[in-house]
Amino acid sequence: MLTDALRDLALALERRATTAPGPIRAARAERLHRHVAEYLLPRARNASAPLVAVILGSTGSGKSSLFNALAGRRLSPSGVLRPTTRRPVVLAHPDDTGPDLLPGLVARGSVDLVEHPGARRGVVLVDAPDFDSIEVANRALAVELLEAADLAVVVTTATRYADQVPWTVLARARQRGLPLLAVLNRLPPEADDADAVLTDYRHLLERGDLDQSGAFGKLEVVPVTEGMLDAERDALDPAAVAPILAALDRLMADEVARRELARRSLASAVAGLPDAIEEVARELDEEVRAARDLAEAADRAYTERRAALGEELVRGTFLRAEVLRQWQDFVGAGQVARILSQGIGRIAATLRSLVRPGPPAPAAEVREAAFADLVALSLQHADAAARRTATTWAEDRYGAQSLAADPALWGASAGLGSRLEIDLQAWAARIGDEIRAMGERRKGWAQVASIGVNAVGTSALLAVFVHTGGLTGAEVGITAATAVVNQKLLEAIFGEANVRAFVADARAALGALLDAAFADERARYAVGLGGLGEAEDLATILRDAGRRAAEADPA
Amino acid sequence: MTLAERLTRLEEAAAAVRDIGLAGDAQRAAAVVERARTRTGFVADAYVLAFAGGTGVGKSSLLNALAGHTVSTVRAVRPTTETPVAWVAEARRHELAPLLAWLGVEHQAGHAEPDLAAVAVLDLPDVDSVRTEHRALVDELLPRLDALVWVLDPEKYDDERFHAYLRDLAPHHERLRFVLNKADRLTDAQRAEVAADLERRLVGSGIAQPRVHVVSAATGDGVASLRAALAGEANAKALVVAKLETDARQELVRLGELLGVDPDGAYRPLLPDDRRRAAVEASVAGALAVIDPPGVERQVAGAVLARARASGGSLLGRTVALLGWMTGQRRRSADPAGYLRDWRKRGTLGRVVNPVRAAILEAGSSVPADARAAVLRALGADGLEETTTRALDRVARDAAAEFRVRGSVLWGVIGLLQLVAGGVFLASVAWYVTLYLAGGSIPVDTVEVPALGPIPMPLLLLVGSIGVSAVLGFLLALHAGWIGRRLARRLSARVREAVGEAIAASGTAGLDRVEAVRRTIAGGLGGMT
Repeated sequence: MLTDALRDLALALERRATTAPGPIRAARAERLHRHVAEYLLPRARNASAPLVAVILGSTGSGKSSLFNALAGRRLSPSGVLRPTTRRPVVLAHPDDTGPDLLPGLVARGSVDLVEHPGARRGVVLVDAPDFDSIEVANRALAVELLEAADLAVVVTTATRYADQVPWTVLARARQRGLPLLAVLNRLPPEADDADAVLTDYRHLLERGDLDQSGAFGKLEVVPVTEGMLDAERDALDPAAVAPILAALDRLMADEVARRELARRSLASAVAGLPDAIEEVARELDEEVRAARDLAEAADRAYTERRAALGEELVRGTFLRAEVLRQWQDFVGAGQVARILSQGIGRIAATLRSLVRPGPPAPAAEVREAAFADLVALSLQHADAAARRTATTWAEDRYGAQSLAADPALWGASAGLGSRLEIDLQAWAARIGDEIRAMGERRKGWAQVASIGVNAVGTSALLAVFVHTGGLTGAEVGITAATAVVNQKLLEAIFGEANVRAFVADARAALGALLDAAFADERARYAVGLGGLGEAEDLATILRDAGRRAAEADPA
Repeated sequence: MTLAERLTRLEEAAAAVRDIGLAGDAQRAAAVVERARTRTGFVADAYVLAFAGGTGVGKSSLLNALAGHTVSTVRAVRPTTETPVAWVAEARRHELAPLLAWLGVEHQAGHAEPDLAAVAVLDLPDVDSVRTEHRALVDELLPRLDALVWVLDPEKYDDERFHAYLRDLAPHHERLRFVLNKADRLTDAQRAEVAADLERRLVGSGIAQPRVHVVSAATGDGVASLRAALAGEANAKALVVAKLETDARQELVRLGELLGVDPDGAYRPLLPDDRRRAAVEASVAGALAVIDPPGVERQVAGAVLARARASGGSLLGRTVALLGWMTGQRRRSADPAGYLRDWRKRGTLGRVVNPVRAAILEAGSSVPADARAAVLRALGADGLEETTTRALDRVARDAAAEFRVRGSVLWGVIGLLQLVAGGVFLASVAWYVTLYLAGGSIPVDTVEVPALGPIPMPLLLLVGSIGVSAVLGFLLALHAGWIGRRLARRLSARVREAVGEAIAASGTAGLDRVEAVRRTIAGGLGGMT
């Protein structure tokens, strides 16, 4: 069914219009959406609804004068100040103002509806604004009317007829197969010049493939000479536009002809759908491709940098020597040495610790410093990943747009440092809890208590960062030295197997914490893209609905 | 400042902008310089004025009306004029020929109007017809023209296309005139009304005090006053110079905007000095935490002590030193050069690069989005880790290369004394050992043991040598410690200083580069206001 296909199409286009990146693409989808929803669908449902004839033309080409001439009364003021008409004037017979008359435009209140019993019944006449003045809103309205019309009267002048902008509008009229009537206004009074212009205009119409788009077969151009005016009605001389008047009168009188024209307009509009849809679909394809490339670039950068961070973590070399020294001094003396040593050494250490109690545990300082180093390291890699992603994205149109909208994407997010600090504190707190739990199960608790839970907790944290496993001979230094003593301390308290399992767990938790932070950093870029490329199926839906509509029987 | 100087400034700015990687923009600016220089190479006391506008507004008709006869073909068929046509004083044709050739104008007509001798009038093709090549030709030509008359008619005066051109032309408003042609189609009241509407629109598009002429080429209305206005253009030479100066200034303004230089305001660096100082300080602190001067000091002290023991140690001391060397203990704790070289293994580069990167990002955030990628690159955001690593490597290497422990004469003397003490010690030990081995077979009484008072000499020597050796060892340690501390302090101070310099140089070199470019642009702009 045609209406089903059109309904699907309208829905898909509406979805596209609300998610398209950039106003131009959104406008293109919205225009097509209105064409389908506000013209094709009502027309497909009701072929005998009144015909809508729109007068289209450049600013100053005399649209309003033509409108008044066709209406037979002064309804739309013409004038010398450009642009004159800013709101479309719709002239309809009272019998024709049903809900199917320009549904969208009337509902949005963008037209002035004039009901007049003297108007032609069955034929609604619209004076459109221009499409080439500095008033961009005018262009939008004119283009919208082009999409909603059954018939268009295109007006141009001897000055204007070769202007580029009107021809781009006419190209769309041709694509949707809109039946046309043509008026060439302001022809020079000299017959030779007028003929030359008329011939040239016809030639341009032929070249634009519009010569067969006439409402009744071949497109006839109605010439109007400069100054042929009906001053009283503020209109063109009715005699000059007699062929247009006659055509409208014939459509009013002959319902069959009217239905036939409406049917033809609908059929050619439906036939023109696949081409128009293809424009939107191709943009979608391109967006999906671009979004995929951009996402891959971001993924690559973040994955690589996360891996590099992981390697540095395993190596444990990111901690400042000062931190390690502080810890080594503490672990090597006092209470701790007592725990570590055995036999005679133990007694000696006990005696020594009585004389010289050793430094208090620098637990908080060491932990803070270690976290600061870890945060700095993570920031460094997150920043580099962001920078690399941004550098790749800057080369791409959509990527550059995202970067322009959010310059913060050039680096790690401002809150990453404090976020990591909070996460690390939470992680440390969990480790502290586990230590307490582990200690209570073992006889080692007394020893934990003697050194302090905080100190043992810090020792455990350090064990995650520096450990003997990952160090190669070349790296033997303060890191390794600290790792050895630190590990000995923990093993003395908790036992080797416990320490190994515990450190593995803590390391996994730390990895997950960093993974989450990096994932969130990476996710900022997805936000920057908006919905770009998310609607991967939309192009298929659009093409399919367009094809179904074009294949359906308009009857 | 003369035009030549202004052009030199722009040229410098273009080169500077190219240096920081904005090649396209540099090329544009260089083209402006090139264009201006080419123009100044041609006739100076005549200017080129062109009739531009949409198709059918009557550009050619207006030129013909001005000339009083047909210079440029007028036809009803649109568009008519395909290539520019020049209308010049016959007497100056020869003089103007190179200029017109540069403009690509082939068709010329001469006149003998003395009042219009200083102006070459061009009739241009249209800018709005389906023949888009016309527009391309005009677009290419517009920047080379000295003055412009934009021709409009009551139909086309509000076209979007026209107003789009005005955006670029606005800075040249002093050399712009607007002709509202086909006035014969309007009543007098309408003329005033339309002219006022046009003026309002022009002001809205950035043309201050627009000069509008209401003309009818068909009836000749207003042509004389337009002609008088063109003839009355006081000084062709000044007009050309002013045009080229405006071009140069506009281009500098554009380059300035690209790099966040406010053309009218006071010069402000991309990054405030205090922010920059803070970033460098934070980065230096991070670098020092990694390089670890206190650790270096310990190593130096260890190395000096080891060296001192090597030349002045006791037998015991030497043995210990040998053991330290064999177990690698010495390499770990008494090798400042190695310790410096291994700086990468003692901390994260993050503390060094993060503050700089943040500062660079902050600096880059004040330039427009289009230029940000290039400016960030110029600021050194790329490869910051690598450049910083290299800079610190150099510091470590230089400091390590410089470090040498010179021995002291005192150590040699102590060493000699230690040797003597050692000899004495060994001799006295040998005495007792011999005594012990002989086990009483040697009657002690038969040998007269030298004695100092009640104490036998061997015992005295034994104890004395140990005591002397200990004292000497103590003295050596004291002296080596003193030397070591001095040396350590010196090296550590040197490292601190070098790190500070290296970070300031590597971290902010890009900033300095970009700032220099901005200053070049601002300097050029400053001289032009």
